[in-house]
Amino acid sequence: MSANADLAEDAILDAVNGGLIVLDQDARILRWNAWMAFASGHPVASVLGKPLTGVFPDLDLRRLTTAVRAALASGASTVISRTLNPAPLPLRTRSGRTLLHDITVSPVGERSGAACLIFVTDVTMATRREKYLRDQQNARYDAIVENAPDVILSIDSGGLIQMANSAAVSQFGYAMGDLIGKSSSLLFDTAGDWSSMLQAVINDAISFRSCELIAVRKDGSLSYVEASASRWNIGSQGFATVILRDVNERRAVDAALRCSEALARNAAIALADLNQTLEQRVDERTAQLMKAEEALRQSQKMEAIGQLTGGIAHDFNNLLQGITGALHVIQKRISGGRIGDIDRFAAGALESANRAASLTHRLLAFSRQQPIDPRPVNVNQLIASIEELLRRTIGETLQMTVMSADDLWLVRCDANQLENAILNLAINARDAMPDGGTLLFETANAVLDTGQARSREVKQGEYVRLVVTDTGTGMPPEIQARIFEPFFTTKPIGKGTGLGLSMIYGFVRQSEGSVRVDSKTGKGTSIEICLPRYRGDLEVHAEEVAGRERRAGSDEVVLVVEDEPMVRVLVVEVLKDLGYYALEAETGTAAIRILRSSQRIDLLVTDLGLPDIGGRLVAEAGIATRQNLNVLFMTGYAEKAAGSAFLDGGMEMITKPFSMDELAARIREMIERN
Amino acid sequence: MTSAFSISLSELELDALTELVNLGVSGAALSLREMVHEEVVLSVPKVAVVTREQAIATLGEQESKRLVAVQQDFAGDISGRALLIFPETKSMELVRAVVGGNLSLEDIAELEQEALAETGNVLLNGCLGTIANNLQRSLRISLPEVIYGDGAEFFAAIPSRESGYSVLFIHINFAVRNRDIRGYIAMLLDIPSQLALKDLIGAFIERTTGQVYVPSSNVG
Amino acid sequence: MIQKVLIVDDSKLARMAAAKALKALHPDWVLLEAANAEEGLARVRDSSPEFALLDFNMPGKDGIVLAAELRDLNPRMSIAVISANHQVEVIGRARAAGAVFLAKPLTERALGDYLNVAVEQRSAATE
Repeated sequence: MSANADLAEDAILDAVNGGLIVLDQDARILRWNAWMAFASGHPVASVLGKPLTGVFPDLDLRRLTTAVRAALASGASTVISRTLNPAPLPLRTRSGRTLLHDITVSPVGERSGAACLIFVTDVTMATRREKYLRDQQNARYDAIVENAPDVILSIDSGGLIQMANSAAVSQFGYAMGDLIGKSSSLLFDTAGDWSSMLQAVINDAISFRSCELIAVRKDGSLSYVEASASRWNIGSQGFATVILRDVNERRAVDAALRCSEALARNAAIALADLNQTLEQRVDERTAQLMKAEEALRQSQKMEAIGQLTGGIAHDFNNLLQGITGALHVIQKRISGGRIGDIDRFAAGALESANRAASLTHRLLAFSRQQPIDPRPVNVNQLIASIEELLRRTIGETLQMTVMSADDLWLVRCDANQLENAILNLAINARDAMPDGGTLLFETANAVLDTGQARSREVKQGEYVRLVVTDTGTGMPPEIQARIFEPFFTTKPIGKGTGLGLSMIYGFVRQSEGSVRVDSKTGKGTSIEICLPRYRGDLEVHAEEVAGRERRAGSDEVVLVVEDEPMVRVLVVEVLKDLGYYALEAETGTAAIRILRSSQRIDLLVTDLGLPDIGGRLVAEAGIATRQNLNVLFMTGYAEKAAGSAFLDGGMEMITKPFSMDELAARIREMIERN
Repeated sequence: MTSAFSISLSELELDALTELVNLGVSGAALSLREMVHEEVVLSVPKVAVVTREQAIATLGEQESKRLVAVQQDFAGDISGRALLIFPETKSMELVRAVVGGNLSLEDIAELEQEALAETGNVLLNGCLGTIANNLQRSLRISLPEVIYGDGAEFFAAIPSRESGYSVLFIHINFAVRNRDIRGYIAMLLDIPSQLALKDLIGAFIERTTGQVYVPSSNVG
Repeated sequence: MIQKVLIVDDSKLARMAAAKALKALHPDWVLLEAANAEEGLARVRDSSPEFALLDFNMPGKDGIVLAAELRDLNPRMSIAVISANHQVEVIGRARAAGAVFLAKPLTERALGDYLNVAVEQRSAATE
């Protein structure tokens, strides 16, 4: 019975197309099927009762014996694959070739420790077929990848390099073995850009073409590369194929220019010069303004300036205090050798200087004498541009609110006059609120019907409505009735001319608009100005060209492109003094937009080192559409840049720092020569 | 079926379990070292007994990417499933660390399944075997299987167990050949197995300290 | 002669196991316990033990780093590093730090052998 059972069991074991070995609790061979006998060359009789090491005395069987021990001692099952263990047993195929195999080791029986089974699977055929296919594929692949002059990398979703070609080895200077498994972000100086690009490629399957990146070689040197990347998959895992093209030669020219520009941003010297010039100009101008105020008391504009001067001088002193104070600290820090955080003080001084410059700018613009020049005006932008001035004028005790309607229509009037009107209203409102209060500016689009138009003595139609409301003392009706009369004033003698509201009235009527007063004693005053809608565009976009430039005596138009506000103001001043019409642009992009418009431009004066687009490119863009455009470059570092070699006909260069007379002479010469 | 149900371990029991895991992981590292012929650096294991939901949440918080796991079932005085889990992105690195050399990406990808199964097998056997030996119990441990997915899929109910189970959650970092490969070992145990484990830990404590150990209340 | 033995291990169970073994071997000796490297350094400063058993795998400073620091603090102290992780690299580093390597779980016999050898070395050094 039991013999029959054994026989049957052996017959089954022998019929299995795979190796079967059963070991007893002492790891001695209990069963050894026919397949094993054939493949190993050891007949069953010669192995029974022996340990595996007795059958294969010369082999390193550590993995296998560990697995057997684990199966017997703790019931563990183990896989020993050809992947990690090439040829664990010396087995041969029928044709005598090496037999490739996988092994599993498992406990046998309910109780572990009783026996264990070793099962051997023949994978020779499958492995050969895989290898053939892979070799064929690899040969084709290598022919492409290894001969490519560009770096080719495969990168996994963790950013680790999984494959690199020989070009990668020569580009980065790492050995192949060091590249594989390395984090790819270590290869780029712009690691942040790199990882976001990689994530976009792998996670969102977005492809990139020709993105410029800075690569870091093993020796730390930098290299410019143009990267293209796209995604591919192995199973569920996404990878990025990245191709890097060396663009160092092409970059060399650009880099040289960038480098010289960086050097040339020798800001300290330039700033000191500019500050000196500015302060001198401010002093001169302030003196002139003081004189003008005395001499032209009766002039409404000068009255307003008189009102402003006190506040502005105060502000100016504060700003100067900030500048001198910071410089003092910097000087002390430098002489004491503590230069750790002087940047902070330098930045403070710079900021104060910038604020002083913008203040002066406003003051200069405001004080200029100009004829009436009706032009399209955006009232919101105009208020925004003088908001700072208004706040300084009304002082800190009053609260000022501006409520601007969106999409406000344009009006056509003299911007300077409208500014004066608003300032006058603000000053009146301030005087009406000695104990504090709120000043409200509102703008809105208004369509006046017949009744509304008639009450305002204007034509019916579309208007822009500006209302200035205060919470001050208000006016009784008898005064309201007279306020637009010339020389009517409620202010003490010497405090006001009485011309303010009458001039506003004149200006508004001249512009075909209306002005109305609504006031009650003790309840405050509201003044409404309606100006007819202008259907058309701003002549030049208002944010690019400040609204202060108006026609002087001459027709010539000069476009000034300069990112440094102080310098821009000075150049514009020179142009005004010469009687030219000046347009301003703060950036290269803004300048190009103006150059592409139909605006007349006789001369382009541009800084070479603009933050966005270089002055040279601005000039080229201008010449592209205006063949006869003359260009004057301003530069602080002409010698260090490409010199004057690139200057074509009609182009000249002036080196900073330059005196205002020098600049004036050059501009006049260039325009008149034309 | 509820899984918001787990045994409570006293401080000393948890300490003993951590020490057992430490022994187990060290055993696993020794086996791995035999395979890679280079030192396997281990972190101190962090051990916690949590519910299935907590385990899923923990994995979800710490690993946003897809995960890969090698799982083996075990049966005996304690029955359940052991999983070695790591981010899918690290699986290539683990395989590369184990097979070494300059294999191509395609080769590695091709070997990945088998190499992962075998490496996970070595680590889990080392861990489970050491723990079983120290608890003086024998288990029957199945062959490994490689699965891809997330915590919710890995910790989905084992169909044959009706009484609910919790997860013994172990976080270790291990590094081979300077490749940082972090991973988790998780064991899913049903309630009877948890009670048995608690008893076995109590016995282990008594053997280790030579003192009578009175366990805390069983289920919390 | 009564000796002081310091055990540094983050596992309370491991400390209890060491206590059990030491009590069986030398009932009259004093055992000092510390749960981490910092506590271990403090015990050595205030009690100057003759022997120190340090767990290798601890949160924070590991046992081999601690061994080197204790060696600086007290060159005469005998130090053993204990770990279940007996990869050759770990054993090599423990020896380089001037410590004996003992496998975890710590058996009474292994501890006894270590203490006997260490006591002999100490008395040889004193003579």
